[in-house]
Amino acid sequence: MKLTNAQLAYVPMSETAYYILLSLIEPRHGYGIMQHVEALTNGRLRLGPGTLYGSLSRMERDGLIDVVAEEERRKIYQINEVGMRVLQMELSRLKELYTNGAVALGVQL
Amino acid sequence: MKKERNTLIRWFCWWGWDPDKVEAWLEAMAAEGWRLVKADRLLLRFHFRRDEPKKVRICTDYPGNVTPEYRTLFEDAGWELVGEGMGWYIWRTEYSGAERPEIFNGVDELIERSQRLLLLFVTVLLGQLPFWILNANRRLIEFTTTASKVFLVFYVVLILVIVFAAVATSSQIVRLKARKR
Repeated sequence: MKLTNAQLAYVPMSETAYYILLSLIEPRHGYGIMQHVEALTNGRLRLGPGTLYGSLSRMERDGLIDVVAEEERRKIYQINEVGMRVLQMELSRLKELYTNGAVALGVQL
Repeated sequence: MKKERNTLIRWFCWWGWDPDKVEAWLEAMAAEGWRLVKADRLLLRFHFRRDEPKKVRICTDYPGNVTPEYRTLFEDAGWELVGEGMGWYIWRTEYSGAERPEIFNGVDELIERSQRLLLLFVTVLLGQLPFWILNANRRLIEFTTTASKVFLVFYVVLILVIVFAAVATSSQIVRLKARKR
């Protein structure tokens, strides 16, 4: 499976895109994503609905997530294989950043 | 006994490349106890009702083509739609803490909002091209009747306004991009 340029352009990823994809490992609707991200970050990151709507539309268009159900004007999204690949690429990038930083600062890994 | 005024209608002129002004004005009205009920007439006329003074955040969006999910998502997140027209949406939410609610998390979304607006202006201008090419060999002297003169003046003014709007929107995009760095 070869990723398109549009899909590869997701790495490096914005913090919001990262947490949206992470939330969609479970099927969720938009507001469910907001609540999940807020809980994961202990209230630090509150996704704005405009940002979320734009990101979800773009990720669906670029084939990173799928609409798995639709109920009462709410789409339920879930990450697909492409999205998982992109997420893993970002994770290894973050791992490199973290490891180099930790070594340089003498933080225990 | 003097009856206190309960409703208010105000006009406010604002432009798509600078919506911060209308947001700030509506928030100031809410702080003075005027609750925005709806906006109409090209989103230039605002209807208010007497209310407690409240801390309110007003956000404007120009999202392009939207699915029904767009409204649901905002409403689930606690935003109320107070005006809609020409592709613009005006959203309202109340808050209490120090953190001002936003519909966007970053500057990128503001840039995209302005880019969609710029695309509209550029499309309208490009749409005039065939008309200009077809009329390229006409002289201005041919506009002799009053009706054709009036049309010409209106048309030229309209085009100049759209060119100005495109330039203003572009410079707004440049300013926003500078804010990113």
